[in-house]
This record gives sequence, C-alpha cells and structure tokens, in this order.
Amino acid sequence: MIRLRVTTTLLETMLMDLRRPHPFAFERIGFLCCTQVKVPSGYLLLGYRYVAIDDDRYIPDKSVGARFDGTTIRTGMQLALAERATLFHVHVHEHTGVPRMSQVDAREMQQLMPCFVNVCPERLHGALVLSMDHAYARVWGTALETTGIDVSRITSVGDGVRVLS
Amino acid sequence: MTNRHTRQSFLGPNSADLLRDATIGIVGLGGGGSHVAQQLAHIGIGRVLLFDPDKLELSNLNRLVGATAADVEVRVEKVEIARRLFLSINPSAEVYAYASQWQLAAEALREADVVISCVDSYAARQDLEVNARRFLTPLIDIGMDVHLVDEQPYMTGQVILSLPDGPCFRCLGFLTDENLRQEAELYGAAGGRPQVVWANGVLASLAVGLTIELLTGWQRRSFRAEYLHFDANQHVITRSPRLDYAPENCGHFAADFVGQPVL
Repeated sequence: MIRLRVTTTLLETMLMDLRRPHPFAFERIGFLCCTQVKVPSGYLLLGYRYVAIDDDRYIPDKSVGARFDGTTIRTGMQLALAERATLFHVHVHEHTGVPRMSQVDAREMQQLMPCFVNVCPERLHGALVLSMDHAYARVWGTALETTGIDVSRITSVGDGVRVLS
Repeated sequence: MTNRHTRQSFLGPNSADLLRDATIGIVGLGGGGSHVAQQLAHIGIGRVLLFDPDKLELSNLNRLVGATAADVEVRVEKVEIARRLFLSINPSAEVYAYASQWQLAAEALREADVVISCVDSYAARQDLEVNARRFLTPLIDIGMDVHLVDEQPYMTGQVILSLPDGPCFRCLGFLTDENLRQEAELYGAAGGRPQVVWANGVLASLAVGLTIELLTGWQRRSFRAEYLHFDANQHVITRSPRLDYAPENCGHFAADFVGQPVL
C-alpha cells in the first residue's frame, strides 16, 4: 500500500500555482518532491517541496493540455537525482470530486516516468492529479508494473486531516 | 451509516467512513491512554496502533480503564488490556499492539493519521513531537500533575495539539530547556507521579474530541494549534493565552524537515 501525505500549506501552494492561467497552455504542471519512507503496509511518501515551472518552458501544442520542453524534464531528473527524492508530476483538473488521469495523461506519464526511475531507481516516482478538493496519484518504480500502481490514500494535514483520494 | 453510529451522525454524512478508515497511534496505555483507547473504540476508529512497554501493576488499578484485579496477578501487558477492551467494543477494528517503546516499532507509528501522546516526561514528549513533525502527523499530548501549594494539593493538566505547520511545544512555551534540564536532574528519583482516574478521563476526552475534529472537520473551525489547560481543583478548562503569543512560523522545525533522519 502506498500513502501520500502533504501539508495543507503545500497543497494550497500547488493549487495556487497550477490554477494560474498560462499565455497559451491549457494547464500548468509542476513537480512535488517527496521523501519516501518504509511503513509496515508499504511506503509512505511525504511531500516537502513544490517546484513550479516557468512560463517559457511550455511548448505550444493544442493536442495536449500542456507540453513542456527538455529542460523541464531535466529539472525533474536533477531533483530526483540530487535530492534522492520521490518526484511527482502534478497538474490540476478544474472540478470538484476525485479526479482521474485522462488517456492522454496516462500515455504521457508512461513515457515520462522512466526518466525519473532511471536516474533514481531506489525511489518511487509518480503523477499527481489535483482537483479543487480531491486528488489522485499513481506511482511507478523498478519493482512495479510498467503501468504503475495507484496511491491508496492521499491526505493533507493542516487544521485537519483531509482525505483527498 | 450503521445504526451503531446514528447518534453521532451530526459529525458528517461520511464521518463513519472517515473514522473507520483512520489510523490512530496511542503512545502510553496507562491512565490517560486507556481512556483514549476506550473512547476511540466506541466512536468507530477502525485501526489503532498501541505502544507501551509496561506491564500492569497493582498501583495502576486506580485509573487504568479495562484492567482487572486478575490482570494484576499475571501482570498483563498494558497494550494487551487496551487491545482486549478495544476489540470487545469494536470487534471489526484492526488493533496492533506493541509491547515496547515506540522507538522500537517506529515504522509502524508513521502510518498513524493522528498520534496521541500519553507519556509522562518532557523528554518523551519532545521525542514524539520530533517524530510527528518528521512524518507530518498531528500530535495531541495529554498530561497531568499534582503540586503542593501551601500544603494544599493543586491538580492541573494540559492538552496540546501540535500540527505540522503550526507552533510546536517549544513555540507554545510548554517545552523549555529549563524543564528538560530539571527533569533530567531528577531522573530516576522522581518515582510515580500522582494520577487519578477522573482527571485522566477529562484530559483523554478532550484529546479524543480534538482527534474527531481533525478527522471529520465537523466544526469547520480553523486552528493552527490548541492548548487547553485543566484546573482539576476548580473543574475548569481554559484555553491557554500562550496560543496568542505563539510565533506565526515555527522556528524549531523547518518545512522540509520530513522523513527518516539520515545518520
């Protein structure tokens, strides 16, 4: 079982950044750095930092919500490598309720995740989709199926423990 | 919502599910922790992690909920008494009992959504808070003591909620170098602290109330911490003014202070 826990402050930081309109991209992306720790039921992933992506790192492409350049991918790889971090690609679906990865998301993540897994194979890496009040996450790793596995429980901890998944 | 929980349906339409899916850690299953365990079982918490290395003694019978005279005879572990009580109230719960110091089962404690600290020293509270901050876990501490003032016993207690982004025990003036130093000087000489069942019960109830508020958000209240003071002589609970003077940002734990320490 995989659990993801972030502070409410960090969650709000992510939402605030990702909901900003971009000059041409339909959505924004960012990276969430997490520490991975062992627990009896599997792994607990603890978010500690969010890294926003600059406007000029996006590439015009109307077939997807957001396409970013190689520098962005290298930024993510560098974070995973240098900090031995579990890295989540994060984006927002602008609705309430539990979000799901679209087919495009799933296809793109299948291609992106090996970049992070290859530079930091001892950690899980994943995709986190936020909605206005819930979240969905999937992780990939060397010991997992190529399609990844769902994160079982996502919580934000602030003035309460909110179950987001 | 099952019939079992209809009387607490005001906690929210999905509160029974939230409580059933939650994992609560209780460290210390003596006078305070045993009360906490009993109440969490009644309210429908689905998974608890119990930590206490001690076995029952005769002097515990004045306050340890669920303990019997027969348990004293065979010196049952305190976690086993709590496990037995919990499952007798809520048979479908998952109860994990660790008859050891929590540090020896530290991986298990990380899974807790909320940790309730029922330990009896400042040093132990400090250790638990460091751990709670590392794993982004709300920590609720309860404690009581009896002081002599002009030969008159004066009984007080506190319940403090420490949240990952909020002021910590040091910010709130509860943990200081001075009280840690004084406690260390008395190490091994202090003996058993005075404890009574009704004061333990009041403090445990407040801790459970905070836990349920954290998990369900039923009051829609926003808070960065909580610090309640219990005057057990006057039977009065007040909010500590120290909350008003806590710094906006905790200077003792950085935001990226998470995960396992690297040695």
